[in-house]
Amino acid sequence: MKKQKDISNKTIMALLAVTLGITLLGTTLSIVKLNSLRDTYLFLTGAATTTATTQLTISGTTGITMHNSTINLGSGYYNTSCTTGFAWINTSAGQYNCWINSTPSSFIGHHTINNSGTTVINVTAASGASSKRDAEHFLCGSIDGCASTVAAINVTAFNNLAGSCTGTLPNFAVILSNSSNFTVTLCPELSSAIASNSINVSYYIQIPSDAGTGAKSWTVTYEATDVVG
Amino acid sequence: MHKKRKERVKRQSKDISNRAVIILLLLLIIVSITGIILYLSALETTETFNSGKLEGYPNSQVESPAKSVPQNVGGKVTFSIVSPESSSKPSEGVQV
Repeated sequence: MKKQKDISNKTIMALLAVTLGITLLGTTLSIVKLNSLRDTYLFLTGAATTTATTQLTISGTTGITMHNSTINLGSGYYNTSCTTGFAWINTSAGQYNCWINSTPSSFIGHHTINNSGTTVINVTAASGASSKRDAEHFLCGSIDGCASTVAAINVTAFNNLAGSCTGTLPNFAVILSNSSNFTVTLCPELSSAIASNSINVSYYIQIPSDAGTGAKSWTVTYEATDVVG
Repeated sequence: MHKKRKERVKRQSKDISNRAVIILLLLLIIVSITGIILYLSALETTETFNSGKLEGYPNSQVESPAKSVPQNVGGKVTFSIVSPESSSKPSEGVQV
C-alpha cells in the first residue's frame, strides 16, 4: 500500500495566515460599520408597534384673482399700404402699426393679477391645453394655419402696486410663436401684502396680413403656485 | 525492531494530528466566510430600517416641502379682423 505523504508545516502556516487574514478582515469590518451606526441609534428610544400618524398643517393659503379679465381690441384690419406683411398691437402702451382700427378701442389693455392668498406665489402664464396651440391657431383659425410665418404673441408684465414682484418680470417674452406655445414666468415671487400684491399683464400681438377675417379669441391661463423657501 | 515499530507508531500519530489541524483550519475558514456573509446581510436589514421602509417603525422625515394646490384663472384677448370695405371709421390709439 502506498504511503500518504505528510502535509508540511509550511502548508499549515499558510492556511493559518489565510484564516488569520479573513478573521481580521471580518473584525475590522464589524468594528468600522457598527461604530458608524452607533450615532444613528443613540436617539432611538422606542419603536411603534402598530401605526403612527403624522399630522401636517399648511398654515397659508394660495389664491389669485383677476381684474379686467378680457382685453378687447375691437376690430380692424391690416393696412395694405404697409409692406411689412404684418400689423402689430402693443396693449401695454396702446400703440399699433400697420393696423386700421374700425371700432373705438384705446388699445391699452391688461389683465390685473392679484395675490389673494396669504403666501408668496409664483405666477406663470400659458396657453391652456384646451386653448390655442400656436399664434397661427389664434390668428388664422387653425394650427399652422397661416401661409406666412410672422404670427406671434409676446407677453410683458409690470407691477400694478409698487414692490409687488421680487425677481425678473418678462419683457415681451414669446408665449405663442407661429408654430409653438410656451409657459412664461410672469413673477417669480408675488407678495401677499395688501399694499403690494398686484401685477399687470399686457400683450404684443403680431397679426399677419394673411390672417382671415372674423372674431379672434384666445384664452390664457394664469397659474399661481406657493413659493416654499 | 521494537524501536522501529515505536517510531512508525509515533509518526503515524503525528500524521493524524496534522490532518486534524488542517480539517479544523478549513472549518475555521468556512465559519469566518459564513460570518462575513451573515454580517453583510444583517447590514442590509439595518439600511432598510434607516430608510424607513421597515413596517412598524415610523419615518418622521418629510420628503418634500408641503405645497398647497396651484390656483388658476383664465384671461381673454379678443378682437375681430374685418374686411377694409366694411369699415371706414377712423383709428384710435397711437399710430407708431
